[in-house]
Amino acid sequence: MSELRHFRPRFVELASDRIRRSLAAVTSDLSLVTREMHTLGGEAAMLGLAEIAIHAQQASRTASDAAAPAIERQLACARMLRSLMKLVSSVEQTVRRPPSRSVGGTRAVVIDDSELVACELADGLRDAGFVVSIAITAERAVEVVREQQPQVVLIDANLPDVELSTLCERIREHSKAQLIVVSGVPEAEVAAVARRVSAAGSASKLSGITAIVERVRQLVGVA
Amino acid sequence: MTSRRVLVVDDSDLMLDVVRSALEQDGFSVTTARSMSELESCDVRSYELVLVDVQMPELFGDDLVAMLRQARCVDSRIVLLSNLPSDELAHRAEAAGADGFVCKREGMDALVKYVRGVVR
Repeated sequence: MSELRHFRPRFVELASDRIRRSLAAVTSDLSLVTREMHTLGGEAAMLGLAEIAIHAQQASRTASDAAAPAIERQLACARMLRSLMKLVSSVEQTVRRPPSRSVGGTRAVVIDDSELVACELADGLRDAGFVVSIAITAERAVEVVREQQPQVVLIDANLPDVELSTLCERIREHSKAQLIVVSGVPEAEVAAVARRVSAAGSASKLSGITAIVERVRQLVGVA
Repeated sequence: MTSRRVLVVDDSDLMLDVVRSALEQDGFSVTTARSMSELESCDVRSYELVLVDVQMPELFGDDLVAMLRQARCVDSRIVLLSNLPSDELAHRAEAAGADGFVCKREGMDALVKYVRGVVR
């Protein structure tokens, strides 16, 4: 996936155009929305941007759903298109982030059920010199940790398919990696969660990618 | 090297460049066509594999496959490539006479793996 990253700036530009055209046509030409979002979904999927791909495909299906009244489709599509624009903007932020100092190939695993979030975190860590693997399910996370033997593992606190404490225990059965709990709540709250599962550290997604990467660098002793 | 030639037909320039980049990194020789006029300039029979997007503005990819098979007697391996659900894609591929299908939602790694499996 990383070798396709250089297509992301172009993707952001094209995706933004497709969404803008779709928003302009949402009350007059839903077939255009169907086509544009279908194409956008395919492009995002092939670039590993799963969350954008799923949302675009949902917008395409909604626009073409002849069983629903037109006004409902228009409102739903407008809402979905605005959400998509936010997702695309978040990719744009990762594209523009400048590189930082290297950490000499330290291995990291990012576990998050949102592939978009996982990719953003992974991209930030790669920019800092980490060698990063991603897992979006608990089962896959355990496999990846066992295979990669990383020095650090970032774990989303709210994975849908497993309790955080259970996943931490399973990872510790296979690895001595330092665990960092990551969540979309304020720093103090995620720190409390991290203490409950005896993690080495914590980071709030509210602080942004740069701050999370810096926290990881501090933990592995290269900041 | 001629046995590793792949033709990709898709109306998205970005998609064509992404697929070309990934397949060329894997050692394939890739030609792209984003319209029927560009496809006309290709000798389709000379490719080991033809990847065809389904939803294109000029015609559906499965109609293109049927045309290549029936009117042009193309016997190269032809595979549909689309973001449609796999069950619909499977149905379209079978009805058109395609040799298979790849879902874009499976990502680039899945596509490269598939192409490696059929083009040796």
